[in-house]
Amino acid sequence: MNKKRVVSLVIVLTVTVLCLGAGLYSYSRAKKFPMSEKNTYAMGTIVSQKVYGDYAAKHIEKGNLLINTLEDTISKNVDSSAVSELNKNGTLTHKDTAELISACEELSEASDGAFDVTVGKVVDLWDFGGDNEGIPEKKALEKALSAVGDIEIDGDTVKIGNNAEVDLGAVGKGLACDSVISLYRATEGIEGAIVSVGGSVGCFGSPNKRGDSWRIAVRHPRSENEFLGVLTLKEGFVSTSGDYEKYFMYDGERYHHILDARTGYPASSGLISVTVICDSGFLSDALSTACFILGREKSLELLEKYNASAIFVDEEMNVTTVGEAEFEKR
Amino acid sequence: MKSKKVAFFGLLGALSLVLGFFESVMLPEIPFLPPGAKLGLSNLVTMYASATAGFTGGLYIVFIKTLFALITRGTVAAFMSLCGGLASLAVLCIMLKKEGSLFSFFGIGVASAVMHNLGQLAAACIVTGTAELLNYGKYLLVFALVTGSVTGTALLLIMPRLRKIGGLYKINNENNIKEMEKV
Amino acid sequence: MKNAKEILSKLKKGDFAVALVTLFLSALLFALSFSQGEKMTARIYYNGESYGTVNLYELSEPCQLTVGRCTLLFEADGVTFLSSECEDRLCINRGKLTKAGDTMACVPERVSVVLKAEKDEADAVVF
Repeated sequence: MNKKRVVSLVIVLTVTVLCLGAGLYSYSRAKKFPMSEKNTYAMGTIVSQKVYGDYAAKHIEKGNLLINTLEDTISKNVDSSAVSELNKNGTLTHKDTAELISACEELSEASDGAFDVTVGKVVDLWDFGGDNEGIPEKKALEKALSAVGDIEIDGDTVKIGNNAEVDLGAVGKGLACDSVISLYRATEGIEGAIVSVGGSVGCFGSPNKRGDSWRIAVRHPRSENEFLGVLTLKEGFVSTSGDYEKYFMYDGERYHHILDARTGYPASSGLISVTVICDSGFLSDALSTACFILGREKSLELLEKYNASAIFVDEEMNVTTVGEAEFEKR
Repeated sequence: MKSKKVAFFGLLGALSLVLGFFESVMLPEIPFLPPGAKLGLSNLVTMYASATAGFTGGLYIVFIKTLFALITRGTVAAFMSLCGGLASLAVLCIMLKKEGSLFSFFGIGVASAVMHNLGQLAAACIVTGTAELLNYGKYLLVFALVTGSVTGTALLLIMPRLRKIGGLYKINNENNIKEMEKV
Repeated sequence: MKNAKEILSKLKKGDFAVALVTLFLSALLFALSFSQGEKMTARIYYNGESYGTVNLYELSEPCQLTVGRCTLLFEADGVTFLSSECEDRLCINRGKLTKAGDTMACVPERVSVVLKAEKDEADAVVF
């Protein structure tokens, strides 16, 4: 072979090697970090975590512990929790809980009272998922309703009226996501994580070096095995409130568990599902409930105030998006 | 004249079918590869036909193969054969113009094998409506590279002899198709 | 018999280009595909249209399904073409599809199956 041939052969080989190298490089960037996955049961629902990074396996247990600790503090079903103490004694002095309830009160005001955590007694009457599930008797309902809003916060002390009861069910899961994601953010060796508590999801970081975003599927409100679409999120929190999670049928009508704190009855705003995307788990959870109750029009201001996006699904299965969230309909 | 043509292409066509049959007997279906992946010995005939008789020559062979597939294996097989054959023929004829200068039959063999496989893959995707079949593309490319090299090199070696023998068309020394003389 | 040197001497510039391009393309395609998921879904297509989906990870025992004149076997770890009325039997010889992205088709019957990783679809679900 003459010189020219050799040179061109070398060039060809070099180019091939470079191409293969480029291919391998992009492959290594797209390859996911080592992942640890754990599914447990807490707060009355499934908690599923996917943690990415070299130290994922070591730290994933901590996430679970954190959720259990949170449950022990805010669940009204746990006798020794701070909230239970408040409900029993009518008063509680506890910094964190007071802060939390304060934030809830703020949201209550912003939503014109539609969202309110002092609906505990009303929720009890409906007993969704329990043995006494059903439409409450009018008098009892009125009594429980009158106690809604009967709350006072003074510094670290919370006081509630005799008939009032605090129920943080509408924000518990979002809060759990908040704490777990914060923990993982602060942990070295964790490159990314996506945590799901019941139907609330929190995520940060990325599953690979390329910095891919997370893909979060939104369940179809009427078809269990189908998706409404997929959200693409770099980081943040997502929660959905729907009339299909807990409900019963009576006389051909659906009675679902998202109660309008102003009426004591299931919210009827024409929506069957609301998904809120926000940079706080607590807010995404609370807002999804509030927006469901308020309806699409009245929610717009609220969403803007908290810099959140939302996906609304109405009774006719019309799906609309508000805000900057990247949502791809199925 | 016409009967000579019929005889010539008939022979070539039959040869391509025999080669196709021969290779299917020799090599059982290869797992992990989609429908249509094969050694491609019959491509030798197509390449020769195009080299001596241009696009039309190659077309006759493609049609014979497609017809045979239609009769023996059905519409779908015929469609795949046609797609692969036409894709391969197109590239073949483009490259043949530069045969001897820019390309040798090695490169032509590889390119036509690649195009044949890709054409068949595309046809399979259309018929089944599954774009995911294209996933096989990566394996096919490598496979075609190998089989194309084999058939290409084979023709590379025997073509000079074939030219000496001549065919229906008198072929001058440089095998420049433009200067073909019809016998 | 001719030796390698003689053959090599006959190769032209264009040949290298062809081989190079083919290699490059296939390397690119290989690099682009890397879906690994344990939870898989099998999508079935018939006559060019979506016929249905089977969530393999939900299967507690193998199940069979007949699509057109092909019978498919779905198991938790993969899909196989059990039988088919077609002549070439390529689909059956394919064996079991086990990885996400794996696909096989019975082209004469126009039946094809694609495995998709559930993880590819979504990292999490809100409900």
